[in-house]
Amino acid sequence: MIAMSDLFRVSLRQVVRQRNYGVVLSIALGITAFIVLAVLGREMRYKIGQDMVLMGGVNVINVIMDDSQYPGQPVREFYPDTIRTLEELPGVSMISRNIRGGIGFLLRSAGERSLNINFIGIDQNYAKIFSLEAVAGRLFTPEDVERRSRVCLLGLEAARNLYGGAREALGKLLFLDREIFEVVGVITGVMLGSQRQDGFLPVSAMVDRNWGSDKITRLYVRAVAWEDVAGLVKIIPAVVRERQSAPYVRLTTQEDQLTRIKFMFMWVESLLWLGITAALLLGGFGIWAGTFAAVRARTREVGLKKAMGGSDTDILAQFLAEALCKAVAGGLLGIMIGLALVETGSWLLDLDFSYGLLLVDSLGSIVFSAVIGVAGGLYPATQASRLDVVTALRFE
Amino acid sequence: MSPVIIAKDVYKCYAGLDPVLRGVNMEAETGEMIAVMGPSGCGKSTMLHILGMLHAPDSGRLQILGTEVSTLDHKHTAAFRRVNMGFVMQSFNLFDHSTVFENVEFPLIYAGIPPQERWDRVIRALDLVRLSACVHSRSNRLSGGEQQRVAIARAMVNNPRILLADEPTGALDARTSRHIMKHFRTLCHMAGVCIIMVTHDPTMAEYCDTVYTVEEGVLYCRKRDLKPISAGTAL
Repeated sequence: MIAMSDLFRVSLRQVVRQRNYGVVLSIALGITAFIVLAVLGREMRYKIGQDMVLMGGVNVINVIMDDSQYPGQPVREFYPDTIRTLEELPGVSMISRNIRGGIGFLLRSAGERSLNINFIGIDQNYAKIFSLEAVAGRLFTPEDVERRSRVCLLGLEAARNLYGGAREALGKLLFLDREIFEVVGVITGVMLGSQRQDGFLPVSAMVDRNWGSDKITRLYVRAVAWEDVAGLVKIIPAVVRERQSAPYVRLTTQEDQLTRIKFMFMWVESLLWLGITAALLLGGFGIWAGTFAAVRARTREVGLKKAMGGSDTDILAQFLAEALCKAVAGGLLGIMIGLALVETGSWLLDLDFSYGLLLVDSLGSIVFSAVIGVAGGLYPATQASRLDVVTALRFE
Repeated sequence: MSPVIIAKDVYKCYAGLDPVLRGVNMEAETGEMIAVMGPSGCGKSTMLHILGMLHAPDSGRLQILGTEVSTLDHKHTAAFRRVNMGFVMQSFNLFDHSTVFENVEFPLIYAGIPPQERWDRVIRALDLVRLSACVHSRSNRLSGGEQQRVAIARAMVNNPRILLADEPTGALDARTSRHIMKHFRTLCHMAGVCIIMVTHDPTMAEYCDTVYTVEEGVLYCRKRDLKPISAGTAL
């Protein structure tokens, strides 16, 4: 049997001289996609999951003290210690303290029209949790909430209805139950929905005045990604009950949307993997067809090598090694491009990735490319090795 | 001198056709140059393929270098051929896109010769055909005669005892053909290689010690008394 060093030296030379780069590129493409998806996929899912809030707040969990639904029960509130514990749970991005329900005030608009504006109590995290932005002025600061400042935010539509525009609303004073609150900002956002017509007060100010409730009875918990939601839904009630009495704590999530998004992700991911598989199969088929073409084009060479004393195994090994060289060259190229894309992608998207995972995936890719090469080249190489010497020598 | 090849009553018939060889007998000795002649389709190439162990005879005995080769299996046949035989074909059959060195080196790779020994042996083989200066040239850039000389060097690089040539000058002009035949004679008489050559050209057969003619599947022998080449008259 021909020595391995000679086998691969001769095969590599043949591959370089054949210039069959299409097959190499096809495998490289598949391996690149595999590396990027395998290494960055998890981080990207997290990143996209974070942005999914724009598509329905699927990673926001609504935690409510539901005592008021049970007559005779005292209305309980979330203790600060409980909230701090929840904030430290893995998978929790942030928590907003709110009170369940709101209070309506009749306000006079620019055209002397009376409008009933509903006010709800929020803290400084509310805007971040629901991805709201200030179109004019500013959002609530921790100081506003802590000092129970008499400031308020208006939804964009409320500002337009009352004052004709967002900028016009800034600095205006609202008389709410004989108290004066200054409009410091006008907010909007995809998640705001019908609350664009509402007003917002610091939750502490509302609790003090018993507007809506005098207790923190609702928490909005934003999960880092939608994948964390299911786990948090399971542990939050237990964590709350460990810290305080909360027999009627209730959680609601955007379950339907979450299911649909998961379903959509599954399809997108399946399509991606299908694409990768197709690219790799294309490479394998390319190797198969390329090796067949090589066997046909070099039939006389096969005959001559056999006449020189080359055994069937030598011929088989040679064509197989050529297929292997093409596949592994494609794999190495794919790893290099994949590595570059992973580095670039992680820098552009601000993602972290594991070098250990990258190494494992790269090694796996090399093995996988080799398998493709062997699988694609085996049949034509076997055919070549079984050629009759004289028939091969006389082949035109 | 003991014969290197002894063929006795060799019979070969391809399925559905008349027998090609009907009881062929042949003996070839060390340093003998033999021509096998005959009209197209008479079975001379079949004869060469059987002597070169590329085809097995249907019946008869074939002894090469004292070994009854018809008893060897596929693997041992290849190994026997690798060590003892060289082939030169009608069309040059060099490996495309390879250099002269890579072409001549190949039998050494199969023979498991260490890489550090290969260069010297390739150069020695190319010296025989006076092409060592072209060792790095691409084979497809050589002339027809040069390509055939490379094929001869490749056949000789393993120092085989037997060289089989199938119409080696069939695609060459008269002048180059004469040149090649002189090379063969040198190899025969200087290196003691037994050369069996199939040709339909009587001019080329004139260079051989023995001429066999295949007629209706039977081999007729005509020994000639050619003066061996001495060292001083070598190419």
